[in-house]
Amino acid sequence: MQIRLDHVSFTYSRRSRKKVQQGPYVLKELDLTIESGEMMAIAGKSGSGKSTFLQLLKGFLAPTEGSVLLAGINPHQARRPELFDKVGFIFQYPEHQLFSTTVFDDIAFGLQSAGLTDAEKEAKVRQAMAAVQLDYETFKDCSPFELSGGEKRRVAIAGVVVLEPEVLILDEPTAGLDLQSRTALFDLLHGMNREQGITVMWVSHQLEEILAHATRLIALKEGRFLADGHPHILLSDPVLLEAFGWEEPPALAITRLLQELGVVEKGEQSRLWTPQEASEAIIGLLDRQRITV
Amino acid sequence: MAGTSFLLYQKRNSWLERWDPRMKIIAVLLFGAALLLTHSLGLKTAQLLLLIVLWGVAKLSWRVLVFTLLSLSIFFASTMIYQSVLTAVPGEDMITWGWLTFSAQGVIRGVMMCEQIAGIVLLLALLVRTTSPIVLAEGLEMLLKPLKKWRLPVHEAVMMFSIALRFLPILIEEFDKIRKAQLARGGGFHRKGVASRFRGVLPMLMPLFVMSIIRAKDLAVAMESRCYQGDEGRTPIRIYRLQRSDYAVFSFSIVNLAAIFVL
Repeated sequence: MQIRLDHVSFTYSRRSRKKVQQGPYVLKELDLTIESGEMMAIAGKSGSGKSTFLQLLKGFLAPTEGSVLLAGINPHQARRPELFDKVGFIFQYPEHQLFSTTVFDDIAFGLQSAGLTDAEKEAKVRQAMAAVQLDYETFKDCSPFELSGGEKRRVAIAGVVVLEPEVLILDEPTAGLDLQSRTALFDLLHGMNREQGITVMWVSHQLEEILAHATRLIALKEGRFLADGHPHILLSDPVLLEAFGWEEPPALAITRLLQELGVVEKGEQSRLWTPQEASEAIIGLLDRQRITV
Repeated sequence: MAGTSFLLYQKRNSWLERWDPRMKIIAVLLFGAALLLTHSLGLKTAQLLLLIVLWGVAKLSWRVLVFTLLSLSIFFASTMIYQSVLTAVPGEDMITWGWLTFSAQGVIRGVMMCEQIAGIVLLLALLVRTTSPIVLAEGLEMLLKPLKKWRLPVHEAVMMFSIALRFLPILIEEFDKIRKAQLARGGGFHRKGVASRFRGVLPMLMPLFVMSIIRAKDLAVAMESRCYQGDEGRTPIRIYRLQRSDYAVFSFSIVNLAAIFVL
């Protein structure tokens, strides 16, 4: 499903709704098209309008000016709020929103009002649990509160995935997770993106994470899109890095160094070098040139 | 956010904010007593008008005032029905309006009762919205100090009260977040029938309850890690001294209370 933002501005202040130009706006004149199947990261400092932007996409907020189009339709204008059901939204620390006594009931919460039979519900919950790599038989009767942090988060994600969204929005999905759980979560998101064609959008402050997983980065500053493009290109841009107070991610710095040393050809954007690989490449280079350190 | 700003104290540098918290609490008690004890419609109306004037003096939002009064409309409506229709005493002047028959004296009783409800709510809203929770707690603790002689845990009780007050807006924000999260994974249950909406209440209350406990636990740990041990050995950070305006407020509150016995 394509999402299009057409000249979207937003302010929380009711007084200034008619005068967004002068009022304290959170988002200002945003134009954007998100194509189906993208892996998109959203970055920006606190208070830059990231959460508001995401809430507009989910329909929790309506734009003060402009329009949000889902598959070419403005759900607010067309009075079709059910279109927003195709957008799954996972808040920060989604495990805090678990409530049922069993994992099955928690995941099936969204299916209660869908008029499905028990067999259909079970099939969908099974599918959702498989998507988040939770074994159905092992976990279905467990209390969600007894699970580990990573497992709880998977249950919460399954609760959204079960509704078969076409777009999945996650607000800082890796906050509070250890490295192993973070890797597992992104394997999961990549799997859903690749196999089901789900558009995945997430907010992140981790540049390494963006670099490793996103195919598109949007950088927000004071309610405006300051940059939109491939993370490898944007995060190599010293002007942009300075504007956000970011440091060049080590992986990119290593790649640049390798380019300068002639180990990697310039212009190679798709390959990121780990410190281990880089050190081996540099040792190889020194060896070839018979330089002793 | 509207809900949270309704309950929050916001610094506006108004005259009411400069009042001593002890005198403010005493004035609220005396004014509340006067409001409840008076049987004169004129006096009750005058007291309510005075509170509205004070709302303006405190530089508080008129929109919030209207919101506060509108939120009480169900109480106003039920009070008016109860007083004028259901508890009409034989012998009172009865008015017939279409199919409805009600007592004229009952209407006056209802109006007085509504003014009383609105007055008490505005009085407390003024106190909470013009006094920061910490100052309010300190004022309350100083007033209740004599009870410590009977080994009553005044400091702890007041600390609990002040924490509860500060937790309200946090809980409202938390509730809003949980509500949105559950709507996001609810499959549109909120757009369906009453039964479906009712089923959606538990998913909001349960996480809120769990979050409240987690927050309370975190706060307790944070307080302990900063060496908080209750009242023992604590010294005040602010020293309060009564000013002329505080005495004036106190005098006015006494006169206001006395007026109901004289008039």
